[in-house]
Amino acid sequence: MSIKKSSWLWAVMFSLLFLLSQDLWFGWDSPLQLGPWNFPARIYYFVFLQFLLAALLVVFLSRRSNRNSNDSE
Amino acid sequence: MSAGHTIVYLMIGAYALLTLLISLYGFKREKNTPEDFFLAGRRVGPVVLFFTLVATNFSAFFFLGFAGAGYRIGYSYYGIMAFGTAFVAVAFYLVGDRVCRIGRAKGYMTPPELIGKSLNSKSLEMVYLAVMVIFTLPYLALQPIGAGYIISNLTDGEVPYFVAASLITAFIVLYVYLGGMRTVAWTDVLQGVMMFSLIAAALFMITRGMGGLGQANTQALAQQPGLFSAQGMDQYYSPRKWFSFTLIWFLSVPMFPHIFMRFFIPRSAASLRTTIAIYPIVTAILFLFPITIGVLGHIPFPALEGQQADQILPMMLGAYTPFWFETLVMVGALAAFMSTMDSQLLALSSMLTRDVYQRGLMPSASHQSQVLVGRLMVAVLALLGLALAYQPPATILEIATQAFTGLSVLFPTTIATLYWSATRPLACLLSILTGEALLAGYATGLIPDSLTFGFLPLVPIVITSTAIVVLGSLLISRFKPVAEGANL
Repeated sequence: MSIKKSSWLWAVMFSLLFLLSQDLWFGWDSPLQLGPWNFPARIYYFVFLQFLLAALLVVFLSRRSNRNSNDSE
Repeated sequence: MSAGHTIVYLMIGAYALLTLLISLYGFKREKNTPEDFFLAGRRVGPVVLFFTLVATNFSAFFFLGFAGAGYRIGYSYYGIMAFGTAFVAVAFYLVGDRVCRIGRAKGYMTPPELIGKSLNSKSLEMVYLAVMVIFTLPYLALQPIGAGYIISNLTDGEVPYFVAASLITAFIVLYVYLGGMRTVAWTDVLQGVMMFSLIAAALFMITRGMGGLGQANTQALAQQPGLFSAQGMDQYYSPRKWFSFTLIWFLSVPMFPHIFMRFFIPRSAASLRTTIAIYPIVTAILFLFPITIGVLGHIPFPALEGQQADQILPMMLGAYTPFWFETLVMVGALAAFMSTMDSQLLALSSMLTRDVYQRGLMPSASHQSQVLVGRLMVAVLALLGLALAYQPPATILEIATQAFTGLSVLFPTTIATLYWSATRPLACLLSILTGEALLAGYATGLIPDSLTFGFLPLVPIVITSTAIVVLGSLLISRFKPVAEGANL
């Protein structure tokens, strides 16, 4: 895959993740749901999103590093 | 002096001594060159880089501001603040990775220098510098404000607010003066470890005193259901406001000079990438602690308003933990103020020394004289910050928001300079000046609120700034094509 195409794909993935943070499907007026320790369930959703972001970054950055080291070789 | 106050002085003294020892060690290793004083010789490894980036970014606002906002707004604040800050890691890559490589290759040491020299425009460099200084100075003043509140509260006013703020500022000046960036980065490790461990321990101790976390949350929900709603208390968030807040950190945090400067210091781009990957995990866990404490604050303190709400963390510690522990956590909060203020002082001093003194006034200045001017500048800037802290403005949250929006205006210019060879300096200048004019218009009421279209002013401002950079560069390029390799 070309560098340009892969960059666009990653941009779309990170943008999608940002869109998920806009919390569109929980609904602003939907009834409150509680999770463990009686935190609102939305808290766990946002914790999950941040771990997902970390995982995406790990894959993205390791691929970039590999590409850079291949380029320098 | 009471026994309680003796504990306070002993703990603050022990922390100060440890910080001073680290800075003396940094001082011994310093080589008296600008690159060493301002950038630690560009040899910072991943562990220190991680802590210095995190400790610098999470300031007084992390302790007092987060708990205060948790009290005022509720758990919905976690969503925008934690995810919004985590997403900054993507911006760190976009800006930091290139800045690290270009800075090392071309010897650039400050953000305005990188932007100005890349586009070959002195006027753009000066405007970029001015924006960074103007919007960082009020933010710099937040740190002594927080420190002053903490020490004054801990000593029951025995040390007055402004005396405490002055003492902390003087101490920071001393250790920054001694060791520059190396000292600042190393002390950030100590300050970061203290911040993280103590705020986590604080939540544990407080909720134990309240009969457990689950029970405390149930009680808070029964007392104030709004604290658990998606919109927050008093319908604080709308979807558009939410979008604005999640975007604001992404656009502004890398533009703070004390954060931007950290992209110049890694030993390699790999060091920065490790930090970027860990960043969202830290925000996911860490941000929950002060916000939860703020929310649960409604149980014993149900009706705090304005600046009172920013005091909820020390109030909760006072109510549920022994005095020695309260003191220890508040020393951790002091560490948060200091780790941000020292970095802000050094970043501003670096820029004024390199971009004004060395490049503008004394192009032939020796390395030694640049370091000397840098050190003196740290003291002058600290005095300025302290002067702003003398009459603390309304609430910490409001001031911080202004600084964030003002710096976001630099984001389109920075990205365009780093990634787009057709970028033209005139377009960037117009973009920044228009963006700041719009901000002034919104802040003074000259532009009606209805023209934010329900978003924070940040959104229309950054859209306008971006459009000017892109369309302006394309238009100018049509009449005067860019020379091959003219930018980076």
